[in-house]
Amino acid sequence: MSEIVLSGVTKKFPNGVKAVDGISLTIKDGEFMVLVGPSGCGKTTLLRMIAGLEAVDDGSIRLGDRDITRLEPRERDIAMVFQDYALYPHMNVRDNLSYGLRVRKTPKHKIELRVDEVAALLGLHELLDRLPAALSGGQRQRVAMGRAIARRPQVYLMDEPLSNLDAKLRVRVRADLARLHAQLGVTTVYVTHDQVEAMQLGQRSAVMRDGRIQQVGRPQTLYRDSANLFVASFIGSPSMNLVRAELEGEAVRFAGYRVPLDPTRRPPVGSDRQLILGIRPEDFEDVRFSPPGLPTIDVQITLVEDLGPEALAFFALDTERVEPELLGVASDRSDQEALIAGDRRALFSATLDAATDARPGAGCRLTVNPARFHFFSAYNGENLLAPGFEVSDRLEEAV
Amino acid sequence: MSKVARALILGVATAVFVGPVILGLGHLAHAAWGMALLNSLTIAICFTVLSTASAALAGFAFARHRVWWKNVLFLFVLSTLMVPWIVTMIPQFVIFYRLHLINTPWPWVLWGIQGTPLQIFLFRQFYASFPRELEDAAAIDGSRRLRIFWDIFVPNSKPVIAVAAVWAFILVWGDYLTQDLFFLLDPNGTLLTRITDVLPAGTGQLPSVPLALYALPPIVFFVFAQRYITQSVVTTGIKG
Repeated sequence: MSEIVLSGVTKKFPNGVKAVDGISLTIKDGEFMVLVGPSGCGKTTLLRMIAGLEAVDDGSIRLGDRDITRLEPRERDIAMVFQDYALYPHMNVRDNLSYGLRVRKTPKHKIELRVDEVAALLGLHELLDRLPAALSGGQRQRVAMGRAIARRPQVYLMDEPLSNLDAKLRVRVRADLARLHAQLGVTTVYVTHDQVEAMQLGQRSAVMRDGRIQQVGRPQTLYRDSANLFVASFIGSPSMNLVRAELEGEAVRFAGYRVPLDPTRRPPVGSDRQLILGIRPEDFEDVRFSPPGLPTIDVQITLVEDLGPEALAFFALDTERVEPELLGVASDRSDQEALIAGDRRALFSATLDAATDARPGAGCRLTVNPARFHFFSAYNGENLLAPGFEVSDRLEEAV
Repeated sequence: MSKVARALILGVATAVFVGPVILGLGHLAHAAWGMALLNSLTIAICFTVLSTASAALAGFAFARHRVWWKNVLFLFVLSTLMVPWIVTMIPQFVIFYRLHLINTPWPWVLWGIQGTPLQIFLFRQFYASFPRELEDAAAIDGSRRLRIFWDIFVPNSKPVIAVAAVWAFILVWGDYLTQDLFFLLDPNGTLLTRITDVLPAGTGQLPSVPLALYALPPIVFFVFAQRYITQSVVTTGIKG
């Protein structure tokens, strides 16, 4: 049983910054949990607290039926893969793999057996006598994984282990990680700032910001039913398009457009008329390639990026952009908006069929799918469609 | 090149360099010179080994221990650099005299155990830049602090160990004043004090051949150690 239970875990640094602020989270036995968030959100600190490398100022951490809050790292029965691999530079691969076992005084024949098993699992046999300096980035990454696996701990902790690999290798290692987890079934906590990694690897992901968890859920839940603006704009690439909008009976009005709402997806009765509308780029389509019956908007294309299987079109809306800082949005869009729009206008992106006629400077008619609209409170950024969202809560907060 | 071949070459090289020293001194020799050589080697080697080991541990503690007062203590250690050795020499002589440790290598052993501020500074700076992930990885693998120091830090400290050891050896080997004072009553003295005894009385001329030979051991030691001074692999296990 290696369930991890975090209860009100808090870490305050000497400069007064609360890196981790009262986090409570249960990671189930055998689960692959991803902690994802922008730089400085406290995800690595939280991982190091689970590892025992950072002291816990408040709250508790349980692993199975043991309280490990105050235990030394060596007493926790965990293994960690570091961002920079942290292979012992003076030891060859064999010694790196077996170091943890030797420290724990494992019998020699068992050590040899384990090293052989791990080498076979990760294809390290021909590298066993090499020093880390003689390995490529991908090989070092595999050795770091192997070192963690060799000890057969209760929990694996991984701190952005793919961030130093090139894009192609990252895809391959990501698949390897998923395969290993399926094979070993060990509880894994994986930290990354890359939401694509979080979506692909995590059985569940916890999105963090400013030391707090914003939402925990399956990747599709985070993507389709984001709890707030932060999660909505952080998860997904390109980011969700956000615009200030107004409810007008059975329709929503934004940037001069009036789009009828889908009967199955509309803000709860009593919601404020002013809200923030979110539309994922893939919920637009060139009218020529779109199923009939969807509402259309006419836009002026600013830029088209041909991505091969699809085209990414950008267009500016005649309305002010939603300032990310105001609502704590983690969008990667603001810099792009500043570059392309060149003014304060909102810049939308749309993923279109690769055969689209959309060209920079030309007009284009796009369909938009109201059944996929996201509605957020203009006061606090909460998802108005989230289960359990009460208008009264929002009103109380606003007061 | 195999380890045996390397050891053989090193052995021959040492014999070539050190042999003449011993032979040269032996030319002047009778038993007293042997004792003087033994004294010199004992104090230099004891001090070098002990001070380097002690400073490495102190540097590790100053660089890696997380206690708020360590910087205050480190500043205090550094401030002792400003106290000239000569100022404390006589009080130390009195102390060692009362402890009956004059004319023995013990003062150098005790000074060695104490370490020197400069060596502590060297180690502290080196270990402060040591990747923290290596220490964390070893802690998670199950090592306690001392084992982390021994298994991870020491094998990756060859450059700074070489610098600190060469510096310590030369410090003792060439320190005529301290040797003369602390072996004051020993008729054999150390090699250095003995060489000065063969000065032609009243001429002020230095005996160039013995002194030139005397300078060889530190040079040999440096030649041996310098390959480590430029070598560092500590970050090769880090990143891709």
